Amino acid sequence: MYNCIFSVIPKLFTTALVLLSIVLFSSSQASDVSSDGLHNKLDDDLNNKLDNKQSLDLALQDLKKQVLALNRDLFILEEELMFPSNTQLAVFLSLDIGEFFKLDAVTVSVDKREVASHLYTDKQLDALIRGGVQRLYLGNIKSGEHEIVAVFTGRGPNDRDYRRATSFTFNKASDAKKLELLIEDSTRLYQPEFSVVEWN
Amino acid sequence: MVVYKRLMMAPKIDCPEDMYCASSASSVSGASRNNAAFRKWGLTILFICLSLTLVAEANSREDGKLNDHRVNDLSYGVALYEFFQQNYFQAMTEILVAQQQQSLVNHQDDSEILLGGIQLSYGMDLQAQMTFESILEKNQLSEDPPPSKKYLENRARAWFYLGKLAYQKNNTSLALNAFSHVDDHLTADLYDELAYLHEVSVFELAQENQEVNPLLTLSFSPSLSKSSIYRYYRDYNQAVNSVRLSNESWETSVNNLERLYKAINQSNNTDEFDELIELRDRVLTTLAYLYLREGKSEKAIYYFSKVRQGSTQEGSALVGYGWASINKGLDSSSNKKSKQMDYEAALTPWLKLQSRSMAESTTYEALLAVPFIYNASGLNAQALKAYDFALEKMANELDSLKQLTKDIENYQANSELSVMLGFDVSRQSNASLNGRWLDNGHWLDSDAVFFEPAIVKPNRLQQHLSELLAKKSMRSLFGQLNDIYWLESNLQTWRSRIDTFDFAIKERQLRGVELLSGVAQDEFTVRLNKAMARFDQLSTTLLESQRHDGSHLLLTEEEKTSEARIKSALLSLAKIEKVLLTGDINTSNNQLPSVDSLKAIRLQLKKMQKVLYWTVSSDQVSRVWKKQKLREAIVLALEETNARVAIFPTLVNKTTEQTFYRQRLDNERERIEIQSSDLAALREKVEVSIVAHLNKELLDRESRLLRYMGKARLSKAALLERQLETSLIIKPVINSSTKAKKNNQPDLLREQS
Repeated sequence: MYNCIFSVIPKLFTTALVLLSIVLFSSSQASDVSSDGLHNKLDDDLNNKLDNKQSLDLALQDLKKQVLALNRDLFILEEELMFPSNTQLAVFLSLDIGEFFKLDAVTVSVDKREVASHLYTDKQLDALIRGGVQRLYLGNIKSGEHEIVAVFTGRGPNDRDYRRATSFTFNKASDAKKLELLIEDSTRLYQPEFSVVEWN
Repeated sequence: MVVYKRLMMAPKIDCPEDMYCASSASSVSGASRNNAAFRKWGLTILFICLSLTLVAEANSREDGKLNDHRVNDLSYGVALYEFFQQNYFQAMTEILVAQQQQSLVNHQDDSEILLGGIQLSYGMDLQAQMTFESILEKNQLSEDPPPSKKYLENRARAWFYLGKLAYQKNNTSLALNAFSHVDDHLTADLYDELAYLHEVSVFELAQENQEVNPLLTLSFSPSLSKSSIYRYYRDYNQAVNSVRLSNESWETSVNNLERLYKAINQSNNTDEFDELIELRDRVLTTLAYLYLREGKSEKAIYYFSKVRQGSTQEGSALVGYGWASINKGLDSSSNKKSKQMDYEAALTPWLKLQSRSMAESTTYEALLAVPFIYNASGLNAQALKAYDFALEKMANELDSLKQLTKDIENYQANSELSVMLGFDVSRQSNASLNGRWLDNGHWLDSDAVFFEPAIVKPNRLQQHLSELLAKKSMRSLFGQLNDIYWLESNLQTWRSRIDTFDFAIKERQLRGVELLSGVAQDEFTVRLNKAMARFDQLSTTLLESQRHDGSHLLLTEEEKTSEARIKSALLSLAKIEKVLLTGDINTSNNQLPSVDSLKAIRLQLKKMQKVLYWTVSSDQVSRVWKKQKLREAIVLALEETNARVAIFPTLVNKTTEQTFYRQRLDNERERIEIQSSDLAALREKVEVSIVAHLNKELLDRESRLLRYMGKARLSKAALLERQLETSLIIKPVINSSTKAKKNNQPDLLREQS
């Protein structure tokens, strides 16, 4: 009798465990089922959203176009308002090849007053080497004769510290003045050359 | 973008269908890792292509000064500078401004191509298409005059990008049509991409059982260069697709993949190193699964073990490695006499897999596979413990998913989805939101509580939603959201700049009002009249000086001083003479000059005076000429001043013209507000759409988790039932004298007894 009870206990215990597992599992299934309704609703919701996705994309494209047009107009307005052509001076910087000179920084002075300076990152330098032109300064000056001085610092031939300056005298008339600071490699001299080019 | 297409294709063709399930999660998670970098990648590739194209010509020439790649329009150069720094929006604006100001004289077509390319990668495909079509329209071929090289090159590039655009929109036929118009004037750096896109387009058409129109072949044969990454992608895709279509080509595919693996290893392409090793892991995993499918477990293990730890393929490689280890004993090439499965060999990889993130479905599989291994090895107690461990881990995960669902609902209400998603967008703060913060910033205020940051950690969410984030539709939505944030930020910047313009206009208007009051104008007129009066006086003096006796009027300042001193001396002399002659003073005193000596001094002074006048009169002509010149200059200056004063009213009008600018400014401000509200509305739509996707994904994950939990519970119950049956059979035999036998029983039974 005693033995019989002991032999039944484990069986009861295991059966209880199995039943408990089944109950737990069925409850998890039940929650699965209950979530199905919500799932279907979400699916429908999502399908509607996906139908709208195309229109969202088109709307965004249209907005991008509009914001770009606005940006363009605002830039033009800014230039007309803050830098009218009768006083405008724009200084650009370009680099050609850059084998003999690695530009680190540049400082620009107009009539002995420093107006712009810039320290170059590798990315900016790379953009210049690839043919990009940097708008270094945009400002206003009076009509008449002026002098611009640009001081370039960087690494020259044989990776030595290099510091050069170039100056240029120009006459500001009623139209916008555009000057380009040009750094070129001279294969003849194996040296960098610095110059200022006047654009019409 | 092609890379985009590649990423989309890769999970689809990762491995044969029956193996896909195991590897999909990790491949998708790989894509999710690429998700953040997706746009960047696309743009980077475009950047490389375009930059190479633009600079290629420049580099091909050489001169004494090496200055041939200088641009001929500064504004185009500025756009390039922004483009090369990946400031695409800025570059586009520069081109649009230059086009509006008509300052692109020499690089009109180049700038259009650049603009179209950027539009293409900036998700403005409609605009890009229009740009390329307009280039083609302008570049209609004509024989008279013969088209220039540049002209033909632009035409070829425009066709190429149009084809690429069509391919991205899954319009393969249209893509092939566009590619067929590309001729060998296309710059060589785009050959690889063209060849790749053409090949995959033809392949995709063939897959859809559509015949390729023979007229749509390429007009020339651009071959993929040996080191091009496109070659590897093509080879991989071809190998996988051929084995998927027919198992007969298994051997050829495996050989091709092995060759590809070696080629990637030997590649010296350092620019795309990361992409290459990622592809290598994919090749290795596919190869290993192919071997595993054919029962060549040792080979499979060899390739699985070469997959890098931490790679996106790690999860599927660990699952495969486990199965290969189990089946190693059954290997057809194995020399073992008794072929049997080695379950324990799978424990190491699968235990490692168990410790990985619950965001990956391979982790779930490992959680169930480990107890299965214990069970198969007869370690039932460990198996039960492992099931309990799995169930506990899954229950925790379930709680965390529910918490995430709740958090998403909160975030939806807060409209701060970007924070939840961990977007790295330097977004200017929303003005209305800031206002509310400031107005109701007290922590007791309901609004302040409303804005309380939620607790969810973006990384955790991103981990959970990695599969969702990898989906094309979601990537597109996130891309759109990112763009909207950026555009909003841009508008916000302009808002503050417009305030600066407004200030400048106000200042100018104030100055205008001041001038209009007439005070300044009158002041200038009075000063001018005074100057004119002095000038008239000077003119009269000059006329008088030209007379015979008028030379004294031409004296210099120094001479005038000398003349004054002489005159003063003569006056003093006259006074002394007068005193002496009246005899008021005794002249016997030797200190006073005598009358004679006074006469001599007078004579000397007169002589000096005459010399002075003589000098002036001898220089009279020259002095008069100089004075006349000076007069003429003064006349000119006065005329100019008169003219300036005359245009004073015009200047005043010009200043008041600021009202025109003010009107423009108001218009632009209005545009900004309209666009901002449009963007906000669109952002809301996109965010709602994203939230719907997130909710669905979380529900999917919950369902999947519940299924796994159900499986675990069932397996555990089955295990317990089996043990119970065993115990019922064994128990009656057990008695106190059979201790040794008891020790050999399964662990669980031992514990129960």
